[in-house]
Amino acid sequence: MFWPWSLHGRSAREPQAASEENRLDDRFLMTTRASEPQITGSDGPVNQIEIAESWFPQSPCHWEVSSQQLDIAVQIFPTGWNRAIQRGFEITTCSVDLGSKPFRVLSLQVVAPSIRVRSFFFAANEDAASEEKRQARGIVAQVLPEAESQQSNNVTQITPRAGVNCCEEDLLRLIASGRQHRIQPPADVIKLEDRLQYLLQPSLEAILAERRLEFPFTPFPYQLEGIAFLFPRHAAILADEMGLGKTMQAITAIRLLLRCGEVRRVLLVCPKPLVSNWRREFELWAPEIPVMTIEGDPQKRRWQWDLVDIPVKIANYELLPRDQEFFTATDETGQPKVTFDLVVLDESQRIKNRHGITSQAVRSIARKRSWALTGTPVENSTEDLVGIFEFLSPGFLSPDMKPQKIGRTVADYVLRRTKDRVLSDLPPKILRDAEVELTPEQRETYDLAERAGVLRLTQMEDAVTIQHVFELVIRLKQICNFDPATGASAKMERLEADLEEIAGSGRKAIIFSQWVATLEEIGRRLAHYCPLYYHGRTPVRERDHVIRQFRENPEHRILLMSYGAGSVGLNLQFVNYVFLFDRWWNPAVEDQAINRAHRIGAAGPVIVTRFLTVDTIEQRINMVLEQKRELFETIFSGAVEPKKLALTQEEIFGLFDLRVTPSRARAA
Amino acid sequence: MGENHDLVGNRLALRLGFFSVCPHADGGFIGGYLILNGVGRPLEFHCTTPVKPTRTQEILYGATLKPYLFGEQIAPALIAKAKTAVHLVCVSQWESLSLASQIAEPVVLVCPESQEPHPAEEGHSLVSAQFQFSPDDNISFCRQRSGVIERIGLPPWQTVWVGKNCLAVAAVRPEAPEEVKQLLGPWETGLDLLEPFERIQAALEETSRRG
Repeated sequence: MFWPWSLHGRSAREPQAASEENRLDDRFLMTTRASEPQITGSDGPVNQIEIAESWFPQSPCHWEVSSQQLDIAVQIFPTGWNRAIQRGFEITTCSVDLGSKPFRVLSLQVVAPSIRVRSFFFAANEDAASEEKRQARGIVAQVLPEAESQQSNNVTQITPRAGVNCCEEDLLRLIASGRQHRIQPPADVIKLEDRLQYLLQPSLEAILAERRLEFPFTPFPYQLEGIAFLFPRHAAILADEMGLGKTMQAITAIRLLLRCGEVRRVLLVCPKPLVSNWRREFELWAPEIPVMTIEGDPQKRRWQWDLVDIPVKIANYELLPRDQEFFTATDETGQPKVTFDLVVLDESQRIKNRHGITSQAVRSIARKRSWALTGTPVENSTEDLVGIFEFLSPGFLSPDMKPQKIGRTVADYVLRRTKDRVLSDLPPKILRDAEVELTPEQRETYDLAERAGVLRLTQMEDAVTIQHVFELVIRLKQICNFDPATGASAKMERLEADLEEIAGSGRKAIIFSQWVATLEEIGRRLAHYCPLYYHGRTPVRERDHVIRQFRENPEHRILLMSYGAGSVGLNLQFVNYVFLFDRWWNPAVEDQAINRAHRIGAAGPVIVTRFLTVDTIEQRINMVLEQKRELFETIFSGAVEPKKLALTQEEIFGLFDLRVTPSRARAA
Repeated sequence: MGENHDLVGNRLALRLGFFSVCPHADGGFIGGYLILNGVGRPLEFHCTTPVKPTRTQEILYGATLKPYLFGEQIAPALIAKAKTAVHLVCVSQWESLSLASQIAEPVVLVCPESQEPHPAEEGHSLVSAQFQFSPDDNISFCRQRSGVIERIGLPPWQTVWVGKNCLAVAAVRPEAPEEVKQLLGPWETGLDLLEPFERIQAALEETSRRG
């Protein structure tokens, strides 16, 4: 290890001559095992000495000193060391420039962050609110005088009920509970400003409470969800299961839109038997809104179509093709004279056939918004839904699309809830498949008819059509109900046994059949229960009376209904038993029938008995019906696509082991 | 507040501002300012693009960064764009109470049930404190001492109840709490001052999604 050492001044290596004193001092022989100081340097002045570690005084060194008289001539070499040691230090000073570089100061400026702001302004100021109030009053104030003068023209004007809003507290309670429903922007609203307009509105509960809208009953939360779904949409299907209150949801959404001034003219289209039902529902849920039913002779109807100050008009499907020229008439500028802000189709499966005249008539109505209400948007095939969308948004769906793709495409347009999902407190629906064996008489007749029928179809070869097959199916189904020769009926025996028990407990029952003749035969045999009839031959004006009698008169325990007349729009919650004496072609229609009883307000469990005769055409049809249910589930629940989608021609022919040939297909 | 006499019996004339800040997915914060009339209808909405503090700001502002950003930078920038004057500004974060020193209108924090301030907290605030900044840690912003949470860089406040709403009123002016009571007291039934923040949240999410 070497220690750096710096000397300044005169060189320590300067040669010196030896002197006498040096000699004395150097009498001793000095030997060392340590290294002598090494003087290193260039040829110039020595400026650095490197000293061996052992030479340093503090470090261990190994000196060996001995004194011995040696008679040896010693030659002292003038090294100059002693002189150098004795010489005093000469100190000189020098300056080192350490401050050659100036100190640097770093300044950090704390800049306020740059903030960019986007602004959106909405029109809902107090002027708009005042306007809104004025409009709400105006609906009544402007129309009432006319309405009063037009009582004979079926304008219903109910004076708003005075007093407190009966459900405002309930709504406030809902608000307080935090379970609020917001009006979400539909997916087809693209502009950010428009979307924010929806997102920044208060909850539906708050809007209803603020506007003091009066309701006879507090809406269920899922119904508020349905209203929030309909309100912003220009195209929508409310496809709730029957009995969940589609009518109420549609009426309340219409009411809100009218109150907000978003719509002024609404047309509601429904099957003719349901017109009175809709009028009642409007009186119940929106009593301040004048409603006009379009009916009467053509002159009167033309005048009714042209009226502009009626907020809600009700027309029936049967009327539309006949009145098409009234509501499609144009003015001198080519614009339609009759336009609606909103057209609502109840039981919209009525337009599932997009080539039908009803569908074409409905689609020709000039309108801004289109809603469809149906519990069965798909009855037979995806074509049904395509047909409804031709009204809502033409071209949006195509028949070639696969069910799963259709399900994804329509997701934002369709709201479908089932009772199981939303009504945890609804009494259960108990389905019983009553499989009965035909009586011997029935079996004999049935087998004979089937053999003869199949033989005839086979003999017809290529001339057989689907209509021929249907004829045979109907004949066989009728035999399954009653043997035409003897009147024997296994189903009837079972039904009578069940009814005894039901009547004994004071309950009521509905019996469905697709044939009036069957209903009449059942009625004849059950005369002791004073059955009532509600079918296609029951005059429309008597139908409400029939329902009232059935509801109020304890003597009438049984209602005999046809699927066609009684499957839609009726509320029969007081009934606990439903019998499907024979099966309809379509499970959706059966569900409609069952849900007359199994709906909101049902007093207890609803027991549904579906008669099915073993080893007959009914059993084979039942298999097809189950496949249709699978189709529905595929579209509206995203389930796996079933292998068989609908009742195809092959399947219909297959009921009798027949095959479709090209000529049969053409005939069909 | 001098115009409050106009509000007597006229809820529609009431104007309330709601300010909230949300963290942005890419870092930083977005602020939203919603102006409602007395029945909850939106009149104006303003929102910022993401505001991201620099590292220098994080270090230098330390625990007071959020009060600085929220109450002194983002909120004033939004309010400056508004055309409608409000009677009151409600905020959803403690840090935003610092807005009170920027505007003349009362500023109140609407406390969720779970975050109602302890009565003992009233009036506590630390103008400065030695804390390390950690961006996502509110502990840097408030600390607990002797069982009382002290919040840093904020004005003192006073708790006021209006209906079911628990409000921490920034008491920059001593009369502010009383003004708030008088302003909102008549409408306290059914008044939910937390709900508009859900709307701001939804609107900010929508705005962020749409870029």
